[in-house]
Amino acid sequence: MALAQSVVNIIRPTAGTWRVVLSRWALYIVAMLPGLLAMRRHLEQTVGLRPWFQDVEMPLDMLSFKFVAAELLGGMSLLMLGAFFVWVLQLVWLAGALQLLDTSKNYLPGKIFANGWSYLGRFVRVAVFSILAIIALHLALKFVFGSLAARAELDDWTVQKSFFDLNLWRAVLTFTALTLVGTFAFWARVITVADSRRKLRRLPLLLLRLFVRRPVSALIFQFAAIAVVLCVQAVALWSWRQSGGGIAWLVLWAMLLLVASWIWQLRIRAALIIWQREDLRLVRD
Amino acid sequence: MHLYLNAFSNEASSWYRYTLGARFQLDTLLERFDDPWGWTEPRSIRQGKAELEWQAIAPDDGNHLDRSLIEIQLAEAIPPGETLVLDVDWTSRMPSAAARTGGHDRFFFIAQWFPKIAGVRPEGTFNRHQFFGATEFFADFADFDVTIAAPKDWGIAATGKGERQRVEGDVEWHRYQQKGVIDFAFTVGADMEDFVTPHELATGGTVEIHIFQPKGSAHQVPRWTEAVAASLDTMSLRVMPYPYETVTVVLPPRSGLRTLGMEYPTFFTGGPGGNFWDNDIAKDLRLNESVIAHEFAHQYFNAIVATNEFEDAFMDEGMTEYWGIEIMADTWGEESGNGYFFGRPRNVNSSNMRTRPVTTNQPAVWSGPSFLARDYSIGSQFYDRPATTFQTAARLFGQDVVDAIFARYTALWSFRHPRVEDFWAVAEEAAGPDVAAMLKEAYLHPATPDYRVTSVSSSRYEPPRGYVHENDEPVFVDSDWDGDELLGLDPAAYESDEHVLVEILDPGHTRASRTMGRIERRPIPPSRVDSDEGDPEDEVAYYVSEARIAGPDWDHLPVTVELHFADGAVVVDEWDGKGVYRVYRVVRAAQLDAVVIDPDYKIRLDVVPVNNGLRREPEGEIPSNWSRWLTGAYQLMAEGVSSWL
Repeated sequence: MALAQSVVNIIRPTAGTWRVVLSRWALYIVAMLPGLLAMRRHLEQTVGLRPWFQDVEMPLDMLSFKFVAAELLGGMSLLMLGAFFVWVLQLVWLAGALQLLDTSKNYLPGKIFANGWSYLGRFVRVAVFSILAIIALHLALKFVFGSLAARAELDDWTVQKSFFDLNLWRAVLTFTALTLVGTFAFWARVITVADSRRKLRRLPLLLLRLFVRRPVSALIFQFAAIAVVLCVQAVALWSWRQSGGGIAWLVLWAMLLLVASWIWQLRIRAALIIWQREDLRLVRD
Repeated sequence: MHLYLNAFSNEASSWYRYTLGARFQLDTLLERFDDPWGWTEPRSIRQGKAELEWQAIAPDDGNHLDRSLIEIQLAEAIPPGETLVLDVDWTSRMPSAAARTGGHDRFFFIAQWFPKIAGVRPEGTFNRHQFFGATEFFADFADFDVTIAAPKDWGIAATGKGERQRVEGDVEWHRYQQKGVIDFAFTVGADMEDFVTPHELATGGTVEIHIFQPKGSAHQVPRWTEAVAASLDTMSLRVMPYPYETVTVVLPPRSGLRTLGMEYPTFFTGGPGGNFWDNDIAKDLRLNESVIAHEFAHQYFNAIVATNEFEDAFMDEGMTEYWGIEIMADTWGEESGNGYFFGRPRNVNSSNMRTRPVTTNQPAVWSGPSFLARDYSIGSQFYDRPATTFQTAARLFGQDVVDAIFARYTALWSFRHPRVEDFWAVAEEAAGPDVAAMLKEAYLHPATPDYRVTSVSSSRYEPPRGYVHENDEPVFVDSDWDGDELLGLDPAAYESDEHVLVEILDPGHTRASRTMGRIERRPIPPSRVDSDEGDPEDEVAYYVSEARIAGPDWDHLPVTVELHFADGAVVVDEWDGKGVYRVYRVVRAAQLDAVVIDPDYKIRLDVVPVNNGLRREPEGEIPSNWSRWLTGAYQLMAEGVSSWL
């Protein structure tokens, strides 16, 4: 019953739920809009002017794909800037949303941006730490898979095992490592805001203790939520294959972004509720 | 005499020194093997009973640490027409498979394993070149009779026809024989097996197709056999009947991957062997088929027509690249001949075509010797340019013409050592001087040709400002003119004779002398006019359209140029391609929409086909589809970065 009650508490919308969901969704749309328009304009002035592409079928054959791909670089800058903008603003959004969705405290119903701005410096420090962790994990994986590749040649593994399987496992483990780091970073930020922490040095130890005490709800749930959102979006993009599909694909994609925003606030709610549990007092202190 | 294996004896060999170390990952090799080096050293070389003196020489680069070439002092001079018999006693150590040859543990690919007498060039001198690796081998024809001891129950395959002779304890003795070949290689593997399928040649006779591959992948044999059979039949029908009784494809295991994609007489390595071709990504790719087709084509160039790869790598690799593509296109079609990658068709010419014009310095194809190639792509120089030259010739003069050239070339030069001049002579004899001139020009020009449309514009006709004579009266037109909008319009623009008047500016060109350019006013009957004349009462607007195209200024690369107008009219101009640009100006009642050079893409030498056409206004769904998709991709990236950092 307690578990069911917790789930209900997490899912039940609070006063700020839809504001958080819709504002994050709008952030993803609006921030990328200049990039979309710039890329479209760029492609019109390059690919669009070439009769070579007049009768090609979608999705493109590999040769035409190569020709189109060669033209993309010139239109990428605003898209990259948009993605960077989304990342930075999402740090602010996260801090603001953590305060807005925290029903245990009587925050004034301020604006997400205004509430979150003061945490940006601390969140960037968490990001720097995450980058260092990712580099360390990347080097570890590189060493392990380099050794396995050598073993594959010396022991004459099959080509399937040597290249496809090894690379697949490397990709899976890299994704896992990234998502684990992401889970740590997320929790570090939740705790920073929930406890109004100024110092972050004790956070790694605190997080380890938290994950030992709450492996499923604190670690696996957050990890799975990140992984599912990214995988579903990746599969959707893969299936889209740059083909038209009219408005249907756009609507579907917008819906996926909305679902991703909803899951994002769900993660925040879940984290806040867990962190406020009485039995975690020892961890907190 | 070549001691090829000494290329792998130290990292200061000329083979390693000139970039090949990086290409074949020497550092990785050294990490994985304590002693990956290989070598060949003669213990004695005798002429009759006389022990001969010999020494390593480095005539190409003076590298005293390179021992890939030795010079032998004969005890007795051999007069012309006489036979020299040498008894050579030597020891070779196979390297870990670094490139082409070697192995360890349970698989060995044994190539360049014996001291090889340098080939005699057509000019009558020995081919005194060290082994550089960028380009490889050249040898005279010989009859081989080789007895091999292999571990019992190991698989074995080799050049020519073989048989197991006897078993002695843990050793099996095999004997392979082949007459009239330039090399002999073999392979042994503990986990390899040989599948033999007789194939009735389309031109008659039977060839044994051997597929030598890792155990456990027997179900793939029909697939590889089909590729070999297609190669045999295409080459036999269009070039020359395959003259040997066997052909063996080796698909190495993981430990032999550095021996991939290499040709030896009647025997070659394809792509990797094993079940990985069954997985969803690889199964629809005809990657291995294309390697098989290419390496099989090498049976003709340079195994049968034995050109000098040290000096003329563009001959065997270029012709082989062309015929490999022809085999794939003949068998599976041009558009998807190379299979499918995640459902997307792969054109057989994918690797030849470029997204941007080649801007790096490239010497003429005929430059040489080939082993000196530095700082430019050997692939595009020795493989792609010759291949696209023959493709262009086939489209300009006819496929049967090019096939006839190759048939005549192989008939004349099989089991001999031609130079490219000999090929040009055959081309002239078989197809005439125009074809030969085109082929020759393609090898003499340093730059890769690139036709391109550089601008297309169109604007509404306006009477020229100033004094315009109309009915012998000067009419003053100022900026605020609101009189007859067609004042001063060229009467030809009305096209009463149903011809489109095209002004063509030809800037001229220079060779030994200057050919003056000019502006030509040429009436051309348009094709494909959509007869949508509209209401004659409607006011008709006229437009001044201009287009500029650029070309390579070659003598033998003529192209068709199409001017597409908004009313559906298409005006065709045949440009001889001489001169570096050409300008069109047309005044008519429809705007110029697009200009397309070489609409049938005959000039395959122009490896950047995309810039052969240009529209005035953008069209098509790609910009909107791709920009939406890319935005999604960047949103996913933003989601990832936000989730991970």
